[in-house]
Amino acid sequence: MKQKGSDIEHVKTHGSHEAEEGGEGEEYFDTDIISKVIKQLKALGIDASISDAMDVNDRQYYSYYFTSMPRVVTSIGYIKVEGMNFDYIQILARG
Amino acid sequence: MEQGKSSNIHAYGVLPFYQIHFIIKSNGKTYGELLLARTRKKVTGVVNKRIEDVWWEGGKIADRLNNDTRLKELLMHVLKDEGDIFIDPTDNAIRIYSRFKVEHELNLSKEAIEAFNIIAGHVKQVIKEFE
Repeated sequence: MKQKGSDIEHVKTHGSHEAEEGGEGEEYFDTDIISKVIKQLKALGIDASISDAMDVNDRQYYSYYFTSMPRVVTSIGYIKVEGMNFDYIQILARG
Repeated sequence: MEQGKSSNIHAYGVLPFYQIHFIIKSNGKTYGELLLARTRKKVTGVVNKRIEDVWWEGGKIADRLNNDTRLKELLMHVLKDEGDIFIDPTDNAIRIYSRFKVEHELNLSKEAIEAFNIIAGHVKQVIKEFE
């Protein structure tokens, strides 16, 4: 899934607009999960930002050597992490 | 894109269970079973679960991870929340992940990040050795 700064801004604006109108204030967006994780990482002193991760984004999320892994998952987004041994953090949702 | 609609909204059928993958860029298929590993744990208690022992099962990397005392110490705490940790080499990345969690459980502790960072460090060392 492509994640861009401009998209996120749009989503947030849209969400607040809904709340102002007295609509579904509890409307839920995927980007909340990504920003929540980024906030947590930043609180731990880790430099993290949203990324496209085009070099690892190939829709193969499991090798299935472990048979208990789900067959149907959806990628929520990638986070680029600096200064750690791993390059990206990806968040997947079930289904 | 239609006005007022975002590609970031959940696709139909997606459930609110999330899994965090820590990804190392590499050709996982080359190293295949060398890097394939998972944790096993001995747990006592039903309500107040206590982890008595943690060990790794799998390829060459499992021996290396079992010899890391700091990692074992961290996993004794971390696995209470994370369930089990898997190292899974895929086509163009090596993925380290634990169980699916609901949104309010999706909290990264300092210990968990340190543990995943140590595991990723061992993965990189094994890749370097076999390059």
